[in-house]
Amino acid sequence: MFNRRTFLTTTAAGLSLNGWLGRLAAAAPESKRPKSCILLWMAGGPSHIDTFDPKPEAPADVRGEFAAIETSVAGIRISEHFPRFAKLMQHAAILRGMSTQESDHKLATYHLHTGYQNRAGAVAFPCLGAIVAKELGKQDVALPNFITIGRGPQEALTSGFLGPDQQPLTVNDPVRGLDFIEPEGDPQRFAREIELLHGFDEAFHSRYQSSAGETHHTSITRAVRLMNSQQKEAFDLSREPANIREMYVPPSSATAPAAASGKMTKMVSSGERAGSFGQGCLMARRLVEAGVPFVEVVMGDGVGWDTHRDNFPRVRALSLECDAAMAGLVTDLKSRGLLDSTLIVWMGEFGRTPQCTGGGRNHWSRAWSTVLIGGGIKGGQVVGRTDRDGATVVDRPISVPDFLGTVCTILGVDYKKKNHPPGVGRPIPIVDTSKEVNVLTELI
Amino acid sequence: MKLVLSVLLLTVVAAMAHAAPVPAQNPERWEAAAILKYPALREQGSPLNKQFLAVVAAKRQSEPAFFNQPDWPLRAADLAVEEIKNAEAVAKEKAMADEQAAKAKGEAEAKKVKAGIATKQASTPDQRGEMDRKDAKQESDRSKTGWIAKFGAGEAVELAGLIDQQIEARLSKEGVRAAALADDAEFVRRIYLDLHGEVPPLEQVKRFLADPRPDKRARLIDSLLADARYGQYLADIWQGYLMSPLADDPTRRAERFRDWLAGQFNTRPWNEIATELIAGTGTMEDNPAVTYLIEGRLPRAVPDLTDLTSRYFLGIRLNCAQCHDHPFVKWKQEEFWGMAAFFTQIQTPKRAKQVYEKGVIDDPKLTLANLKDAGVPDGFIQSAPTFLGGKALSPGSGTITHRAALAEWMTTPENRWFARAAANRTWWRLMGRAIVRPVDDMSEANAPSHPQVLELLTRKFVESGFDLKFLTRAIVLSRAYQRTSQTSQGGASPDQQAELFGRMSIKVLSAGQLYDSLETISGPAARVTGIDAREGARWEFTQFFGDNGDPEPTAYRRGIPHLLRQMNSGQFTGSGFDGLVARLNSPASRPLEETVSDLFLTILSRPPTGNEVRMAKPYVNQSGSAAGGLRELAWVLVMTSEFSLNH
Repeated sequence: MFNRRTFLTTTAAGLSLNGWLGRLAAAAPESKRPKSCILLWMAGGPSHIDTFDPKPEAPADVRGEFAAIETSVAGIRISEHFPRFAKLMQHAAILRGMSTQESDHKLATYHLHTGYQNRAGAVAFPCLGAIVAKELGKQDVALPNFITIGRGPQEALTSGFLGPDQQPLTVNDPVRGLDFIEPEGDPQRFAREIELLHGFDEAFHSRYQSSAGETHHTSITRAVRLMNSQQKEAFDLSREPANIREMYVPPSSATAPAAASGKMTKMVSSGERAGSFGQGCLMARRLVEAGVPFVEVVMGDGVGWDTHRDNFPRVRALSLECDAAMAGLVTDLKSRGLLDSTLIVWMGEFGRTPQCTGGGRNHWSRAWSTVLIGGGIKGGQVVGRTDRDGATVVDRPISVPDFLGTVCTILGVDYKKKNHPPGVGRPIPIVDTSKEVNVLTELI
Repeated sequence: MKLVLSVLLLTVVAAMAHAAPVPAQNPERWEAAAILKYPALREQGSPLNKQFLAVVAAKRQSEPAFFNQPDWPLRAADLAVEEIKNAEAVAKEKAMADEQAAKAKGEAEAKKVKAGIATKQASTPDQRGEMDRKDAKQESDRSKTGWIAKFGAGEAVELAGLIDQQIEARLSKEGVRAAALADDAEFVRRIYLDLHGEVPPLEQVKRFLADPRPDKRARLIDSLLADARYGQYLADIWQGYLMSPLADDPTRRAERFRDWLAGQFNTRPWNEIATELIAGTGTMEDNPAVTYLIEGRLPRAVPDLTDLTSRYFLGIRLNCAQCHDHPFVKWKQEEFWGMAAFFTQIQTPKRAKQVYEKGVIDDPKLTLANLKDAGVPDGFIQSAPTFLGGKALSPGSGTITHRAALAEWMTTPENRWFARAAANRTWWRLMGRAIVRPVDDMSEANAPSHPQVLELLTRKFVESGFDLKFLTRAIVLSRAYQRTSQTSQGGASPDQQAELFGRMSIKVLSAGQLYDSLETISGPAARVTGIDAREGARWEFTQFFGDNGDPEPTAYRRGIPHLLRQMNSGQFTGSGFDGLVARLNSPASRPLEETVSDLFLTILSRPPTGNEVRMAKPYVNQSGSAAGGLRELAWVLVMTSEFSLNH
């Protein structure tokens, strides 16, 4: 239970990502590898008409300023500002039939992350990342099973009743790396401190026994192990060659022409450093390679995709950045033989109004789009169809449980499985099954 | 209606017939003229009608000659109209003046609070203690003008004794031995954490440990309860319960709500506080109490508020019954919706967000049927307002709002749930283990572990006038509360001992307690890169380290991310301890043993054991500098399980 070994510094058995583990990953038959998920969270609610559900036949004030371009799959067209991703459409399925109930940012974000609407009821629902971490993650490894990159929606990124082991580890700035992974001073001092800590704790735990104390001890042990592990190199982007890092970022000329007014540079995801979303996707690839089952990369700190004003310049800039990141990620995963075992989910909390007013679009949850890529799905498809204006779903409406049920099924998680959180008194299925759940079987 | 006025006039005239001869001129003509000019005069019970009668009555007293004028009905009507106009103008002026005064007061208060916070942040823990004592005196002075406590120390001691009698009888019956009482160091840390939400400052620890008086624990309890910090801590807890974390602008909203709650908890009984929360009106700026209701700005909020209110104020989980009859407990779906109907008058079906501009107002025309306008909530059943237990709201109570009626029903002494829920929750918070578990699900399916104790607490709480301080005082005076949490050798299993309250359960420091304790120890938090600087430091910390809702006090819920930050961020620890170390380490000639001892007293509220001194001294000495070594030692102490637990 409590012995010196659990506290003293341990080095993981020489696992180097680009060496042994990389070769192992490449050699393993793809079907045996457990699935991972990279969720690309588009905070603010991206306009579906201006991204993946263009409406060239609609009147000008609905259609907007962007043209639609052909993709590598005949018959599927997307916004002209996703040129690189367009060439990879054969790996993707666009879900144009999303139709949900929440139009408030926080409530919708919570709904899309946990699958349940935020109610005052006593249940603290876990988000998808925590669920996948629990179902697919290995329990005794150095890296946590659920990692988020970027400043995400804190209220929704919660492990809820699944407890501390499924709490996400957050990387605020992928270029800076994981905060607090290194001790404040030098490592020898830290090791000495840990040893003294152990001495004091041993005495305390022998007199005051509690599961709370045990959990505290375990959490420290795991944190220290992570600090001393080789796997933490996954958080260090400087280990990637420059050409790989550049794959994830649009060439600087792409965003420059639009910067006619000096304001432009501020319009892209206001809180983030430019290009950090792409680097976040790169880090996600590294983490998945190291065995992490769920990574969420957030795009759109601050205003993000919430384009009530200046819809077209903002969406254009965001799209180009997102396009490079997604295309880079898909290409990189494919070349490493990881695309079939990694499901990429591109989603926001809702879409945006078909009608443009004052150069902007407002919230619209009745009809919008998400995209699923890789993970062994039958790509090159569109599921669901909206009307001429992109205002209502005329074919195959997809609710939040339908969507999350599908994602779970692709990942190999039983969405009907019930958890029994303490103190709740009734079983809670992973996905809300109170209404019939329609998994999109055409993708699997 | 003309008939009515004529009857009135005739009555008046007839009455005057006894007094003086009636002039022959035709009053009916002038009555007709008056009615023509002021049609409202005809409506029985209208303000004008009433004022007219008042004028006539007044004139009859003071100026009987008035009625000699043939046109006196018209004159009286004119006078009545003028009097009404004047009254309205005066009322309006008063309202505006009140508003100005309240605003100015609010601003002054806010300024004072801000100044207070700034001075506190700039001061040492002992200076802060001084300021808190001043605040406490002000608070207790204020309460003298409001509600007065009925029960004092004597009644609390009596209740504590009765509690102990019950608990010890049960222990004896089960053959489980009670643990010894906690020692002074354990007690002082525990009582500060439980009543003030932070570890005791160094000077208080030293003073308490050195105090030779046999009644020092009771005295300490008294001073902690009288201190303003008591209300602030409870406010922190209840803001976490009652305000949704998904709220807009949460930092400022939470602070304002907390400040209001603190004043309430320090000076008012629980029934009055609950009434304010449930029946409050106005905007959040004018009446922070409505922060609770405003989270229900969407029409779906009616079921949400029903659920929240029943859980936190009545200790009942009704939410299952929203959609179906509860599987094991008796609550039926109609009962949920009967309760939900009490919250319908505050809906804003046309535009949800107008509640922020106009504030919470009751519109008597709104009912459950309006919920359907915004999309039918699950399980909807049209119901009239019905109290739990079946009694319907009587139609005659049309003069008070539904919510006021609900608050009234909830807080009558006969209500089985209100006091019981408060007793259970207070016991749960202090003892770490509720008598009915889960704490907010006090149904037949969950039998109380100690029914007589619960009954006792509930009854006395009601008799005290719902005085939470009295209840708290009684519990913490008891031996049950003051027992050690250490596991003793032999005898029953430690778990069983804790379940029977023969041993104190070990609780975990909440995020708020962690933050406030660290601030007490090392001074205000430094800002650190990597930590979201946009929100207030305390809000960000408590959201990151904390749990929403009702986590069990005995459950440790932090994982790798939290420990990484605690260990390596330098926020509070590491470089954050420079100030503390400098203070303790002066003069530099001070023997190391003393400094180490002070460090233990500051962080763990106890002196080090001999063994610990033997480990610590060489540790500090082998470090580069004494200050560096002490800082590392401080880091270690803050990272111990002992620090994170309320044992």
